[in-house]
Amino acid sequence: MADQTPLLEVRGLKTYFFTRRGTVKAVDGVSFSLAPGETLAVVGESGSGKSVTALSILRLVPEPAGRIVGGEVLLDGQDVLKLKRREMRRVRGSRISMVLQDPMTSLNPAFSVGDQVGEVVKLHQGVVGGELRRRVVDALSRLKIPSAEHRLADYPHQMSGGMRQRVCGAIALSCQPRLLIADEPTTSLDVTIQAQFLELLREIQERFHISVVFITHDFGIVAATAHKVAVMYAGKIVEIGTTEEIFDNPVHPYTEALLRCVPRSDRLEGRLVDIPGQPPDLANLAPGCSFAPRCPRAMDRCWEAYPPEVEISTGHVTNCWLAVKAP
Amino acid sequence: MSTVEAQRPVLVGHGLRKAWSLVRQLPPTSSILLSLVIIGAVFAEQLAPHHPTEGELRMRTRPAAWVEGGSTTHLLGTDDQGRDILSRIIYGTRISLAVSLTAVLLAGTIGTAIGLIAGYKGGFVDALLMRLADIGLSMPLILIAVVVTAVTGASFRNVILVIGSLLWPRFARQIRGETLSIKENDYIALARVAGRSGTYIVWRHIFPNVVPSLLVVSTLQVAYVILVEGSLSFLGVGVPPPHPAWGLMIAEGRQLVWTAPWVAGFPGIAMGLTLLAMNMFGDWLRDKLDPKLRQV
Amino acid sequence: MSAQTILEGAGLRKHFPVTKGLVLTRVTGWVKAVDQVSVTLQEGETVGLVGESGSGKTTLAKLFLLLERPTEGTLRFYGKDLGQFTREDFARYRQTVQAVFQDPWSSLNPRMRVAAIIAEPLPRETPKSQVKERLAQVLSEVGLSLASGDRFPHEFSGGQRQRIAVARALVTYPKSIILDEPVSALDVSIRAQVLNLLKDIQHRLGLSYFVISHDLATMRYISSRLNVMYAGKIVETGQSQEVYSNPLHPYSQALLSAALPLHPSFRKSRIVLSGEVPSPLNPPSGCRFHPRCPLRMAICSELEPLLKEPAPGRLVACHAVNKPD
Repeated sequence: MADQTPLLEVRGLKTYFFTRRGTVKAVDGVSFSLAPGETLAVVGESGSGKSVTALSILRLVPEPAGRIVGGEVLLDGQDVLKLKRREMRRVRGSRISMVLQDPMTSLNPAFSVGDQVGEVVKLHQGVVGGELRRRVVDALSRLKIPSAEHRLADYPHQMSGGMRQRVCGAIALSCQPRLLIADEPTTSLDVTIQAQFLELLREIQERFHISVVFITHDFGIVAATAHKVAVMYAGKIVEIGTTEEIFDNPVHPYTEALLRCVPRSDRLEGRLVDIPGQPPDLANLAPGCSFAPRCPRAMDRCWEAYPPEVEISTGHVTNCWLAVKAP
Repeated sequence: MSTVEAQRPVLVGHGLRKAWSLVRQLPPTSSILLSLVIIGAVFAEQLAPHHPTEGELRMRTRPAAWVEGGSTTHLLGTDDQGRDILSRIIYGTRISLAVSLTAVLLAGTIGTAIGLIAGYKGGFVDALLMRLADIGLSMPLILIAVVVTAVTGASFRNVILVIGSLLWPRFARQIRGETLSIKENDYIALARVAGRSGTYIVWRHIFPNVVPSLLVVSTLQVAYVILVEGSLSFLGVGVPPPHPAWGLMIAEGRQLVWTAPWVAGFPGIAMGLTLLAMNMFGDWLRDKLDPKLRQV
Repeated sequence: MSAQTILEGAGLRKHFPVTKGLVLTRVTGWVKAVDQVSVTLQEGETVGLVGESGSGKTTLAKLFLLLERPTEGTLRFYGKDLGQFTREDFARYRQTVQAVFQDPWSSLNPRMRVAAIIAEPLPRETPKSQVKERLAQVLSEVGLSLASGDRFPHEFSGGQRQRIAVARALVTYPKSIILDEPVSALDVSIRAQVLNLLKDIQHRLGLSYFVISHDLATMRYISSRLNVMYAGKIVETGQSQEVYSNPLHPYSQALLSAALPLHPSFRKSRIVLSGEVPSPLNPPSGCRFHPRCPLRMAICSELEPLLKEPAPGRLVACHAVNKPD
């Protein structure tokens, strides 16, 4: 697959928020690529910039406080950041789509499920009447919503959380996008429902060859669904690689710490290793590596300058002074 | 000299700086206008050039100073009894504020108490109190005020009582809604787990969190009451003459509106500006406090 | 030496009526949130209650915190029945059984200083000097500075707020703390901090915990005994590590299987349940799990299974597991 043009290529993306307190560098130079049919998990805690990255790809960053100040987002080689607003609207929902965390607020309680799915289909595919209805039922059935034809008139509050999230998925996938961005889609779902949803997502992805950017804080989901993982901290990607590489051979101390501070359900843990301190204030980042204040292996260098990119193996890259070999 | 004494000028300086930064955040136009109203009410004796109710008949119905026939002794002219309009307007601020603040205080206290109880208790008590509030809300305020004061006579006390007793449902509804949403917070349940009584919870936990919204409602209601009082005075069932209530002044100037429009005009402008300023201030207060409310 | 039993719930039922009409109300149904649940909590142990939404676990916590009264069943506190409580008993209960809730933002009154929040559970007659001393003690127990007391909740992060909540729970020298999803709302790295803190405090102060969560990994790390709840009933109970390594009830098996593994090589086929978690208003007949159960038999839709002991120390409510002899 190495000779295939990547479906999505993000280069040096920078999104800042201009507030009274100062400039919050929510996303500060993020780069990654995604091949067709691949799943990239973006892992980080709150304040890492993972959600803002997703919003930036779709150009949904809240203005005027937020603005994409640099970088490129290439979808099939075309920079979406340079599109006119009207062209971008055609991209959203049809070529790139999104599923969010809370289905209760993603769906409008005043409209029926059929109306909400239909709205997207009508907008991007321009069909009406019987054909529209047929495609809406198709979209819902694809997400295995039972008796979809009879559920068109249902309202969101009449459905369970898991079903609502499937409706959101149906809306997102109704126009067969090339790229799906999922921002913590299962966080509010029960464990057994989450398993259903992830299984469903995997099937659909394989069948329609969709690429997925999966934003999560849960390494379990990463292990279960992702081909590649990008670990974010304070607006930057600190490590990126294949899932196996990241789990078996994490290089960046933050990645290591994250993997070790999560309790496991499949075996009894000794003491969890916690990360002392708090995430940094994104409006007042000190020079050097942002993780240095909390890093168990910080050296003097780490406080002076931000570490360069180091390639550990093919596709496994990190920004850490520890990985830089002495000249 | 102890460190406490040495710290005092620093603390005072710090306090002054904090106060100034708060003042800087105030909305300029409405704050200035409202300050003028308040200053006028407090310092009416010092500011008003003439007596508000004793007029010189030989100076009656003079226009404003910048119009032909006017003089600088009566900047805004005089009414048909020779009373200086500017002085009457200044004294009028006192009436508007006195009536509206008292009525809002009365209605606010009753309404908040009822809203808190209804919201916290829920169930039958809530249903009963809210039905009472509904009845109160559906009453035509001005009509009833007219009837009541026609029967009992126009006086300050009656105006305040009538308005206050018909205004409380607005507070009650708003505060009840706030109470309901505050009740959902975990710290309320935790206070019960700590063994605290309902009275304590309402007073110590719910009421302090209701205060911001209460301030906003109160500000907007003061504006409303000024308008209502003005209407009642205009109809002759509000503040009795010869008090320089703005509504009354407008009523008195009604017959002269073609010949001496300033008699009704200036008090009308004064009332309009005051209402505008109060509404703007209330809106600003709501915007300032609202997002913070959402935050917590 | 046997540890004392602090709390004992037997046959607990909590049914909420569903009413129609405003003045002349009519009961049209019952939400059977908790249905025949028996749980005990002894000194020094950590009992876990795991379940998904609609399982009734939060309602059970409310029963233990006396925020709701049981519709049926008994609740004993050091052997004394709740129905026989005097005012002193209630006061003593409040001092002995404390709580920490899930949401660090709504657990603290934004208009109260931290010191006042933490000191709230103390009896009103407590002299000020004692209050100050106790405040200093609990702040140091949870790793917060003494100056924190003068600040307001919004000045703290989520993890720190949860520490404040724990400090408050400790202030009356309780014997047990009921924790409802104590770390679910926190970031991953902060979760570890708070979990470690809870473990340390338990060890130092001899506390017992009753932890409710949907997160299996957290439960495994922290609990010694585990109860699995489904649709208002306890379906399995036993020593934590035994239940995890060998779940017997088909729901426990599915639940544990759905918990995602921590390595990509474990992408084995999982038990994926079909259907939804049942509504407590209209639960399925017989065994409430039967519509989704892979081991379903004819009897399952007719007769509710009782908790039986198929292995020592293990209680399971399932017809398939407890084959009738």
